[in-house]
Amino acid sequence: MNWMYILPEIIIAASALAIIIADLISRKPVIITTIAIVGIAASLIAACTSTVTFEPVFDGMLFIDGWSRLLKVLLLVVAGSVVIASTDYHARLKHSWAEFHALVLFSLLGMMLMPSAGNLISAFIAIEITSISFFVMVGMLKTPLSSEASLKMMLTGGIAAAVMLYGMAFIFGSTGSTSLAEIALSSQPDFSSGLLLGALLLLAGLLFEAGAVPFHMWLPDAYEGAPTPVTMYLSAGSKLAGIAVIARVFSMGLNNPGGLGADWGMAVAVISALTMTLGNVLALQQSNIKRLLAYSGIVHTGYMLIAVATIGLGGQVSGDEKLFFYMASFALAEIAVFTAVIVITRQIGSDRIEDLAGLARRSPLLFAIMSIGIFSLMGLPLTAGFMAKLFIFTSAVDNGLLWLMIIAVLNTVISAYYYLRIIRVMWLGKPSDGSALSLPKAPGLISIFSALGILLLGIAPYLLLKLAENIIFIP
Amino acid sequence: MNDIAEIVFWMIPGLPLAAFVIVFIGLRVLRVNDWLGALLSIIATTASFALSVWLGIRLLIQPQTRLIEGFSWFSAGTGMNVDVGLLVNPLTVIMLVVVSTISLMVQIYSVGYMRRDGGINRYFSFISLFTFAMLSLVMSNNLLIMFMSWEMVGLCSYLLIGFWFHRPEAAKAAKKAFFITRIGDFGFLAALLILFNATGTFDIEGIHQAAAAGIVSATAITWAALGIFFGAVGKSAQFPLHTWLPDAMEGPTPVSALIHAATMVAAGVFLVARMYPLFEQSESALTVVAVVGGITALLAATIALVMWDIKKVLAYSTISQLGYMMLGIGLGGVWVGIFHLFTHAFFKALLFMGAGSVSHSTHTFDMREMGGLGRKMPITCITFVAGALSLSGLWPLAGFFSKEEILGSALESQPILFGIVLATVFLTAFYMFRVVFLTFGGKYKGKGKPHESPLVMLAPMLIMAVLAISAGWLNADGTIGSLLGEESNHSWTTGIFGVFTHSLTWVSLLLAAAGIMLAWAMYSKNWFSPKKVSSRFTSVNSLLLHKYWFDELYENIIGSRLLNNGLFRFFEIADERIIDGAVNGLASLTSYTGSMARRVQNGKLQNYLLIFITGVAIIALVAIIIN
Amino acid sequence: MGILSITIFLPAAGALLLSVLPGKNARIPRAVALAVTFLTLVLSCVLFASYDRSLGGFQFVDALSWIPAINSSYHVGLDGLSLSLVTLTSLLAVIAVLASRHITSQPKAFFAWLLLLQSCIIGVFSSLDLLLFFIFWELEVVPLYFLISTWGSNRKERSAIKYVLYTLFGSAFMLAGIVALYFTTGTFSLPELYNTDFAMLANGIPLAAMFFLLLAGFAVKLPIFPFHTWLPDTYSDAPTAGSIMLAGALSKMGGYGIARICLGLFPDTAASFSSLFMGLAVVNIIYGGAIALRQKEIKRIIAYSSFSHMGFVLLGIFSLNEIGLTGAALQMVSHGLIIGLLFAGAAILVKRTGTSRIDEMGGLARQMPVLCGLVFVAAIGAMGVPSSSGFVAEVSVYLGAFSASAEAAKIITIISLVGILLAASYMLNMVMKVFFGPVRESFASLPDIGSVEKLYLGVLATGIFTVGLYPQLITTVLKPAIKGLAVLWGG
Repeated sequence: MNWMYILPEIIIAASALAIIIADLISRKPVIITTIAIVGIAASLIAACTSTVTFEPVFDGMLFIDGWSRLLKVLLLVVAGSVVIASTDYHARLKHSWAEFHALVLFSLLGMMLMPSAGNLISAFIAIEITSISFFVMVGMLKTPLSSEASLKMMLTGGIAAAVMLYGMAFIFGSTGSTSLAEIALSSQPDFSSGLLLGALLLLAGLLFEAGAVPFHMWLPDAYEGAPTPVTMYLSAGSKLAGIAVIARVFSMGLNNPGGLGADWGMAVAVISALTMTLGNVLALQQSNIKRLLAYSGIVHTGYMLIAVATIGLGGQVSGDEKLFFYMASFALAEIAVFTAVIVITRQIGSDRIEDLAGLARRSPLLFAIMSIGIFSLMGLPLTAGFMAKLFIFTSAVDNGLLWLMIIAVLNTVISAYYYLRIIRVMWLGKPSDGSALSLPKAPGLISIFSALGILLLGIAPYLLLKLAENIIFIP
Repeated sequence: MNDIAEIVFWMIPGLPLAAFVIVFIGLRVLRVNDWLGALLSIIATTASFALSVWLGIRLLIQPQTRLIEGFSWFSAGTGMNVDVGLLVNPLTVIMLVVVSTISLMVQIYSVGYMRRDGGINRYFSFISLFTFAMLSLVMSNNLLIMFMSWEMVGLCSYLLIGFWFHRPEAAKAAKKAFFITRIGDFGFLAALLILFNATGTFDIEGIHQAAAAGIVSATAITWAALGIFFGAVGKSAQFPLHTWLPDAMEGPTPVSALIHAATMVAAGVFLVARMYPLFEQSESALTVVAVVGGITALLAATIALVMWDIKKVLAYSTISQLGYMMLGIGLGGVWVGIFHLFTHAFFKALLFMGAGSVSHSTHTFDMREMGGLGRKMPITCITFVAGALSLSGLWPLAGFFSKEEILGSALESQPILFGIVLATVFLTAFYMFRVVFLTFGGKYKGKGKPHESPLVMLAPMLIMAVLAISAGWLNADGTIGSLLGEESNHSWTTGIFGVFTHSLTWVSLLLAAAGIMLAWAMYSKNWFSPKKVSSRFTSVNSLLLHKYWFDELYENIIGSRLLNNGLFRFFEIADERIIDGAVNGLASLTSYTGSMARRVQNGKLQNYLLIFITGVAIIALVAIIIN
Repeated sequence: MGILSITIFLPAAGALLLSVLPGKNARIPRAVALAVTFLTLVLSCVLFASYDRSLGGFQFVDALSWIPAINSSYHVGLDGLSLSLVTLTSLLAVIAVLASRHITSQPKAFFAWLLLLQSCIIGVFSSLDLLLFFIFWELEVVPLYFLISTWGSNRKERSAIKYVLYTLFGSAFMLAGIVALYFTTGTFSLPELYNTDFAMLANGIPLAAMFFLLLAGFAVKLPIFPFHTWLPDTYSDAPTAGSIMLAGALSKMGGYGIARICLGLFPDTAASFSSLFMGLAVVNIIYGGAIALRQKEIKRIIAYSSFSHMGFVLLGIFSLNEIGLTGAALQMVSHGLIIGLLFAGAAILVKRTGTSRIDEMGGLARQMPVLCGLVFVAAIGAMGVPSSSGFVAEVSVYLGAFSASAEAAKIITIISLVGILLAASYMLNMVMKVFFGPVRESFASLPDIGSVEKLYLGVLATGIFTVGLYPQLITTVLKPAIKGLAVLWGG
């Protein structure tokens, strides 16, 4: 056994434990934050430099290949950003500061394992580690709203887990194995109806994590009730991990072009269409910025599912560089927007969209960051979001999903309405209080970096796309 | 004409154009605003006039057609080239003489008439442009350039009719003139498209050759000819597009003289004459021309009977005479119509100048406020009567000769039209002398002290009077007829005295004399009162006073009710409610769906679970169905 | 980086400069914007003059590999069609800056957005790569959104969002079409696509589907009935500069796109649907003109007249022959000048009189003879009176359309002639109501326009006459491009 394969995960686990211990010794928030950042940074270095193999390791429990490595790096960056951005949130999480950071790292551990899963069992365990950490984090504010959100998430999450297990049981029953590699072997060329049912139930459970319709109901409540850094983490972290694990499990285990792959691919395509449309329609009416971003996140889940569907339809094994590009650009936009939202809402004491009025005058920099992030979510050219959508659309058409692409592009039009509403309020609205807003250094740095990243990827998407392709497909 | 340098031909339209540019732009930039503009215009027109007359004299010596190549102006693709060039044949030269003469006289006259007005530069520059447009229309060898000049003529008349733009009636009349003639342009443009499509050229000679060679189908020729005629109907104020011309009286009177004699309205007749080879190929088109001309002649003459505004009478008289010309072309060929155009130009210009002179001293056009001006304005009176006599067709004045030709042509071919023409002869003499007696006879009924006009106005009138009397003699030996391609002259026109050998002459002279006598009896001697006559025929009188209700039909019923407040209003409402409404509806539907969907998202946990389970159930169901 | 790329990005660079400029003085941003737009105009004129007319084809080409994964590159170049529109855009941008002298609130932002808009438009006309084309196309909504919603009038925010949603709606389909095209051929490059025989490529997506997907975006922008209802609101609520750019330059992107992409790539599909589009063109012309006649507000009259005049562009394009296409291209240039003059003039009128309703104006020719004369020039252009650019354009369109091989071409063309009547009607009505009639007391002391207004309105008026009297100026540049297109249908 080569423990080096999971060195990044080990570092994260160790840092989490270190935080708990440190909390017993000193309650200084700086120390906690430092440990978290150092741990994440170390893990990031390890993830970047670790060796990868296309063979499953640890008796087939994990894949440490290009796809899992890319996702690890992305999730580490997201987690790091969350930690840095939450420094501005200290006032509200004062009493559970260490707990919060430990949970961030624990859930990160789960999320990092999710795309690496080589076995249904390891996938399930990784998902549960993540979920349980999030149940706690969402309720961390201890306000009624926060607690209720946590409870709802936990209950629906429990059902999702049950459905997922049920699906796994069907798959095991049909193939006699929980290892993705073996499932893949025994599901070819024919497959039983039990296997299909199992696959679809598993899909339902996994879609809960990603927040796809109709398994999305917990999401707006959780986003609104949770502390904003947690919301940011849910959106830019666990959502992506959820999509990544779907891509992993289904592309490795259940991929059978023309047969099973086409079936679940088409199911995902239909769900994707529903998800983005319903998410958009619901987003139109929101007045709370976090809730609006929750629905916007649902819409983006829909877009990412297009890429997942093309994996199924195209019979591709082990991830997809275009999907990764989308995830990365989405994460960048969410980091930019949420960091700005954290900073703004702390100062104006409200997370209603109306109260963002006049932001352009109160802080041009924050306005610029918000705008770039929102334009990227909207998919305007010269932002990463446009290129991401474009890549996904090309692969959709490549796989005969022209209809889905048209639905998708029309959805971008609907989404423009509510995104522009935010811009309009920030640009044209009359501020009730004209005082300037400040942008603290640490969150400022990451939000500026992510905004610049969005523009860079919008102008030169090839930098990342080529990198991802090389990492995924070249050993 | 071969020995004449080409530059001479180009100078004829070129000089007025140069005058326009210099006066309109140059003087404006230099901020010169006195009579320099008028002087420049007149000099330019005089030069054009002199050259035209010179060409005319040479033409009498040696008739000839000359084509002058110009330059390639515009080409939209390989198949379409517009080459500007000149086509100078006898028809052209006659028109050149008419246009430049009238324009020159009108400009001189205007110096007196317009002296109290502001915007003299604007006025004279527009007149120059008008002259240029008409000259280039006449000289062009190219149908597209002709169309352009044609449109320019329309634009200039718009600008001049609306010269006193602060008067709402003038602004409205200008718009009406432009718009109604544009309805005619619709036909011209359609004909242009048909002809270009069939022949691939705009060259007039080329089109005629192609038509003669049978390249163009008979249907196309008929449609093209009708289209061209429809254009002429608009410009030459033929029935049913005649309504703009009387309103155009809102412009300054010299402008009316110009429009009615030589430019705007003559353009239509000229166009039909220019394209006559096309009409020749289509019997039905020629019949339409003649019939429309006949209807117009009679219709307008009847309306002229009851008008009180001196210019309105003259306006309807013009329409009526234009009808004559069309009828002449339709029945007797180019030369009959053009000959009448030629003579008409002089006496009609004269009459308008007379009317202008009268109003210049009485400050009104209403004949009920005039009377007795014969003694106060003797020269105006004498010249006006000369014009009236010429218009009524009394021997040996110009109008007589040209009218005889029309009568003769009608007599030969169309008995019904002949009847109409005869009736019109009577009516014409009556309404013209009604004007003469109301204006110059009896006692003065208006305000102020009328006085004779200044010499600068009288001189052109005198010149025009001479022409109005003598212009017809030109054809005494059939000169004009043979120039315009008539081989066999009608026998009754040979020689000034030869006419009396034919009974037709006597009939028409008797009718004209009867008309004059009746007017004398009614308006000078009051043997029977006009009031009584009109009260006896109330309905006819009201029909005439309302000009057969054409304006009401066009403006209120078609323009307003049917189109503007009917169809167009429907479009507007449809645009707002249906098309934009559908878009807005889609938007509200989307947000309505949103609010419905939001109801499900009501925060109740059992709902969430229900939906979750339903989703799973559907997926399971789908899986089972697939297999 | 060639001169064309500089022309494209110079305004954007100016926008960037403005956004980092300190201070709140309104004069400096205006001067910067003026300098930048003027320099761009000079560059465009250099391009226009130095285009080799005998050689034809795309010139001033800059090509740079950009996203190899999807075979997309930064590829720009100009032929006669795009060149004339680029020059028009540059001219209108200068006019737009000059016409925005009264902007005092946030002038920096205003001029920055305006400059950015100009870059986008020039970019659209210059792109030879469909992805690049789309990016410029889509990006243009952002500056316009800000321009309209911030500096507009009336229901500006609603109009702005309406414009954006409509545009995005169209471009969504367009993107689908571009991606489908890419999937079919594996390239975004227009020159490569021109050399691809589509009939040989068998794949699931029918050519007609791609044609209509692509057309959707252009149909909204031109606009083609019934995708026009954004137009009256947007045109009339936008700030003057916005209206000038929208109606003058942006609407041309629609016509340009149809000719360059839909026709250039799918000649057979275009031919089989040409009757349909000629029919729609007539609807544009007549329906738009009829509604224009009903309008009471000067800007709405102009807006609907613009809608109507774009019908001529469509009619000319779908006549699918050299004459019609030349007419359409001429009409685009001509309309740009005319509508620019009309909107700029209308803005001055509205500002001075304090009303936008034509029946509340009147008699203004007395106080403002120069303005009256200049607006009248635009009116005769819009009516297609000879010597104005409108005439040569419309007559060519008519001639082309009448000779088109589409089934109902002749009847359609004859019906469309009604357009000249409607144009005369609403334009003369407007001129009469606004300028003629007795002088109103309340306007008695209004002064005529100043020298700057005289300058920029005069430039446009001169342009109208220049093109009208000397159309060869443009047709010689257009010829190779149009000929190359017309060959596709054997003519």
